[in-house]
Amino acid sequence: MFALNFKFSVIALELLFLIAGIFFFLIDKFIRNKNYAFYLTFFIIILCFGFLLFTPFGDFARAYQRDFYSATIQLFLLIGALLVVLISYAFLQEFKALNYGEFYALFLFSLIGSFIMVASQDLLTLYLGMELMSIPVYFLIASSFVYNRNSIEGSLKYFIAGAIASALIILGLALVYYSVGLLSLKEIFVQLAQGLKKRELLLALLLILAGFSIKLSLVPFHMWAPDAYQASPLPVTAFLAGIVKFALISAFIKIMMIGFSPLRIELGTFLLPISLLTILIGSLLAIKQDNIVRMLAYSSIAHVGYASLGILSGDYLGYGFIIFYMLVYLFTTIGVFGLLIYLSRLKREYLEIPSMAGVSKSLPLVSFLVLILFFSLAGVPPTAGFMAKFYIFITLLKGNLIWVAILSLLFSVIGAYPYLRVIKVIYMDSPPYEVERGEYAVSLFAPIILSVLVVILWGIYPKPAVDFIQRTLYLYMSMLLFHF
Amino acid sequence: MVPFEYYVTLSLILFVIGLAGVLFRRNIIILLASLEIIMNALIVLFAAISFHAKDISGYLIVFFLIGMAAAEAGVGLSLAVLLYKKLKKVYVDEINFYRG
Repeated sequence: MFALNFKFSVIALELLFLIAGIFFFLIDKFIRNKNYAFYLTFFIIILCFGFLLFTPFGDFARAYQRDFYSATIQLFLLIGALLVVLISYAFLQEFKALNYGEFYALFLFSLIGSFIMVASQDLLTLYLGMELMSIPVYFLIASSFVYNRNSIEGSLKYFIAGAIASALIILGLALVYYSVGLLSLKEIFVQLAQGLKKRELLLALLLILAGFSIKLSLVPFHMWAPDAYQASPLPVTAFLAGIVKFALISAFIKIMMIGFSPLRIELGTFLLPISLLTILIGSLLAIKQDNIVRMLAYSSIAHVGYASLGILSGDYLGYGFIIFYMLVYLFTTIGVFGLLIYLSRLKREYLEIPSMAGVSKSLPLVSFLVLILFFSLAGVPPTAGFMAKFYIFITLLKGNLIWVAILSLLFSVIGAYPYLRVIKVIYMDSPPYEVERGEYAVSLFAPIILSVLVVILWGIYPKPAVDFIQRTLYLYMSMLLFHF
Repeated sequence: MVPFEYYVTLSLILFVIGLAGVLFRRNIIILLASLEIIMNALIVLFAAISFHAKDISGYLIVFFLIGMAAAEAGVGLSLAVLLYKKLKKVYVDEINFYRG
């Protein structure tokens, strides 16, 4: 028998989040001024940046491992979480019926789940982290029934889709357990590298991929996404589109890098039509949407499709570019939803695209920020969205998938239409009425300005960020393959 | 002693029954019960594999799955209760506010 290693300093961040979340649930009834929860959450997340630097690398009970990869992904997740917490403070000041400590507590629980997921060493821990990540989100979506009674419907649809996804993933796990005897990712790699059990493990990988593609809303299973996005409160939508998808994609990359890496060429052939269909349908259905949140939901479907193009060639370089793509998308989404929170605080009708006509006359600064962020989503050159797409296409060209690159380039032309339509409505249509300019709250505009600056900076000079991610992956792989 | 294949067949039949229930039944309570049937099918599968392979870790996974199934049932039932209280609906084809 081997000895298990219980170093609690390794999981210090998760313990801190857990204690804070339980504290919110216990204490929230007795505190009258509900803004305490925001200050405490903000303080804890700032504290966690320090914790992340000083927690030692190592494993906890062979299930959770803090290493280069998980620490880097957790740093990105923490930055995203900080921005989402800031914009949700501004949102909750306006929608006071949601302003409870439990809002932040569920948020922190979901963050624990995503941390566990990206750092897991076996498939069971990964599955449990995934469920811990999604279950609080069901409640967060349903919580907005105070303002929009139909939000329960969106939450229920997401719940049923997520339950089917988890059933498929467990079926895959059972197949792995039957053929390997363990659920550890390294053990799967050992079996596959010897050429054993290839067919059983390929079937298991496809089942796991089906579960992940329900959660990531890839095309045959994308129908829940627009409903859930439209139903949820705006900061929760930003969380769902940015952080949850980022965590899911990086966990899937981790599975592909450690566990199933001998099968990555076969996976590419299965994933290729799915990715192309995802981009096409996400772009096409976004055209006819009038609600801007619904339009952004379809665009998020298309963006995950672009990101999954990097897996196709099975090149380790592509995995780094996927993470860069999702990181850019994280920043852009949080900025866009921050701007939508600002607009919906001014007038609730601004969430419908035709009623946004001529906003630029009365709100020039906000319209300019919308312009930059939407150009980044559409992939227009001086922004980071262009560079992210450029790197993905480079990976495709290197993997000799030229026709895939050309097709997805054509689809991205279709996909640019919805964003350009919003910009045209804002800048060129004549305004029906003048709007009072609201105050620029610091907690709302700090994350927006930060994301806009990041988008412009990485659009001009993306090399440091890309090098950082690629070097992390390189170090992680070399530590994995050669034990010092 | 019951052969291993019988267990696998049982759990797969249960899985298909549950999946069909999720896809085709209209009542939301039946739908949640079908999700429970799926989870129980997987639990039987893990226990059978563990018994067949004389390995203890499958039984351990079963306990995690029972906890997970309980959590899912709790979430689903609370959402169903909320749906009935706020919208007075119990059938799946009645909840069609969002479309397109």
